[in-house]
Amino acid sequence: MPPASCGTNCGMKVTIKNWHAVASWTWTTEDDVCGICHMPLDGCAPGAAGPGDDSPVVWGRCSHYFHLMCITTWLHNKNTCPICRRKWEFASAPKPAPATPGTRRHGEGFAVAEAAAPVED
Amino acid sequence: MAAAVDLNRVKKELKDCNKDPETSGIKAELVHEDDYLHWKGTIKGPITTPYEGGIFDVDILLPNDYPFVPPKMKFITKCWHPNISSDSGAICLDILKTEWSPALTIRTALISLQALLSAAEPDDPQDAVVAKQYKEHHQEFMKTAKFWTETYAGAQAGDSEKLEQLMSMGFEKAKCVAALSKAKGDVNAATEALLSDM
Ligand SMILES: [Zn+2]
Ligand SMILES: [Zn+2]
Repeated sequence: MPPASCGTNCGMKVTIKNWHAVASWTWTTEDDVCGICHMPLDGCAPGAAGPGDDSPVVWGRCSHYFHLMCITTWLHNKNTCPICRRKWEFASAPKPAPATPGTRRHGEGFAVAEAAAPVED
Repeated sequence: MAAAVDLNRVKKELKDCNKDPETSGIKAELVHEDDYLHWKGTIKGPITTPYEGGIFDVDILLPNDYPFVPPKMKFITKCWHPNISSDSGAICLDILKTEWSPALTIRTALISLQALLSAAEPDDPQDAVVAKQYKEHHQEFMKTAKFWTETYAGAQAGDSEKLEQLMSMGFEKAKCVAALSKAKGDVNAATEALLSDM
């Protein structure tokens, strides 16, 4: 059995996250949607009253991001990232990657924990 | 836990499942119109396996906590496979149990089932009898799995195989060919015709 963790239908791309000076693999299904509810990140998580209301976006140290409401519900089950299955630790929003034509950064990050202290210097 | 299933995601998923049935060999539909929690998935048996040519229906129930808990899936079409109960259709697949993640979808689960048909895991069996045969008498396993695919999943046996089947009952080859073509390839109908002809 090949690992089924990320289905065969999603594209795989490498993103260089220079803010930690490490490369990481990222599985992406669609751009700018939450990996749990599949709704746009700047939209509304299921159950939230309206866009931006109660559905901020949060990052994990693995660099995957979800609506706060969505990941919180999942963490009651298991303390792992739904996408890469690494242990989930909240991180502050990454600095924008070097601008790539045609890509757009959504919303503002929402730093929940101080876990991601700068490593450089 | 969420009290109700997030229908937005589920509706998107249904579309997603049917976006390229020809290439993926995966399809899904609602069992009852407007009941988004009960689906029927369809998987084409992967080529170069004993399931080739078969169409396998899978019953899919979404629990209220979906997608935070896995969908409940079982084979409706009978299938001879170490990780599928030959009796109930129950499936032993980690992502449908402990390894589920809300990043997975019905589509990815169906694709994983298709992969399971291609690569069994006999050491983690759902059906002990099938798993034993798979490990100890693999040729026989392949034959049985193929036979079940033809019998239950609608795979057409090749013409030469059908002919062989009829001839093994003691009929002359010419008569078998004629009966088979008259029955449009239906072995059972051909057999009946040959028998009533005696
Ligand atoms: Zn979400
Ligand atoms: Zn991750």
